[in-house]
Amino acid sequence: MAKTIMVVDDSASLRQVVGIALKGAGFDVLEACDGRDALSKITGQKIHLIISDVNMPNMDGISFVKEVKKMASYKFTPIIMLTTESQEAKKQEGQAAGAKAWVVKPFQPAQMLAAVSKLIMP
Amino acid sequence: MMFSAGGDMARGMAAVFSATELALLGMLLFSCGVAAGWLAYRFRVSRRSATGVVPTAATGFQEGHRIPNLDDVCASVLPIWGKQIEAGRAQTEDAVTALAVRFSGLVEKLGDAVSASQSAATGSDAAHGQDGVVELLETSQRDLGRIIESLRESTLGKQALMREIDRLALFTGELKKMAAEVGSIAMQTNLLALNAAIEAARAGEAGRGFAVVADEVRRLSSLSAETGKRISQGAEEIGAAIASTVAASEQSVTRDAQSVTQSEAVIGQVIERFHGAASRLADSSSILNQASLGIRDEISDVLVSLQFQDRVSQILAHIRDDIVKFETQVNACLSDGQCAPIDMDAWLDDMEKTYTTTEQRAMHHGTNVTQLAAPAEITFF
Repeated sequence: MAKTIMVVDDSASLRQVVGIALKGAGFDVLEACDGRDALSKITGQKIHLIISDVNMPNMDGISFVKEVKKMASYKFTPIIMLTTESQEAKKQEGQAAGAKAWVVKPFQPAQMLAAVSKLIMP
Repeated sequence: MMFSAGGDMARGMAAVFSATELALLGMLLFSCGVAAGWLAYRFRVSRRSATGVVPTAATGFQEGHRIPNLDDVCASVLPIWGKQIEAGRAQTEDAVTALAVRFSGLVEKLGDAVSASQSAATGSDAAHGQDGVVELLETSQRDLGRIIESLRESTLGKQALMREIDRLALFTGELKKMAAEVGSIAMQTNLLALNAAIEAARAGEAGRGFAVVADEVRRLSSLSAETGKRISQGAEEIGAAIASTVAASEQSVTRDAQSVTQSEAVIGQVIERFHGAASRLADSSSILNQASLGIRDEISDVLVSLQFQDRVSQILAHIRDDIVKFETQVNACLSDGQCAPIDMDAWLDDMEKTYTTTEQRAMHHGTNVTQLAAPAEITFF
């Protein structure tokens, strides 16, 4: 049974790129275009890991992570922030919100898969 | 789309992008040029303000250095710039998304092809219960070997039957000999009966009864001689039939043996040819597998390249937003007469706050960034 990873990013091309890397490694992928969309889609889903952008319309990534951490079902679901942002202050915001890793775009697929494997057993 | 190992990525990308997508990329570059021109203008104004060439940012430009219809030009041009940048950004986003979808399809098909090839060659697709050619060949070879063995056992059975028929032929010889002995006994009995008849005649009236017995014995000996002849003829006919059967069986056994030998040779040749084909298929599958590993590396590089669309899109969106902000300011001045001076430092600070990439921050402070950002390390918390 393949594990499911939710990819949250306002860029459709980026969601595709992440999807190619994850699907190639045998994961199922659930896509959302921003934090609000992700919250509407996550309910009732068995999600093993979340990869989220930071700067998105409607609901940004940091707010989304804070909301997810309030949900009993996903409180312990590991979250990777995937963003162009590389400033330490932003990283600390992500860490404080409950993210487990911070990946700066562009990422190497192998690096991303290594991070995913580290956070969940494939 | 296959790239040569370590090949030229630019050539590979040119092959991946269609003419339409290249045109869209051209539009993107044009939009970037427009945006860069506007940024350069903003930067020069900022520098002039900072270096004191123009008195102060707060009090505005000197009358002699001001373009008279600059506000009208800005009101007309800025919306067009903003829309063109947005159009370029949206179109490249759509094009790169479509490209990524197609690329995803190619990657999936490539994976399926490699998997199918491996399965066909080695039968590794055990999950679907399908045999590969090599496995199928080995099974077929075992099955055909069993058929040859069965034919060989059949030939051996016929040879055993032949030996039994040969023994039967020996019995018919014995039968003929016995028939000859019956004929000999009949002849001697006939001779004995003749002597008895002579002696009965010589005895006269007293031997009349004995003469009758002697006649009966002669008649019986004649019958015995006839029976002996018929047995002998029958034995000869049986012997001839057995000889004919033996000859036919010998020919059949010889033909069967030749047929088994030929079948074995033909099966051996066919199996050998299939082995050759299977070996070539396995080699081909191995080459395809090796190539797929090389392609995987290329795919990895392409995936990194595709992500720059997201960075470009963000940079253009920030420029677009800033143009809209400026346009709003100009329109407020033109329509409502709210022509308060712009606080340049606050404006630049606000701009910087929207940045998400290191190159934006570097350019904001006057550093030219020409190189693409390298794939970054991952920070774990």
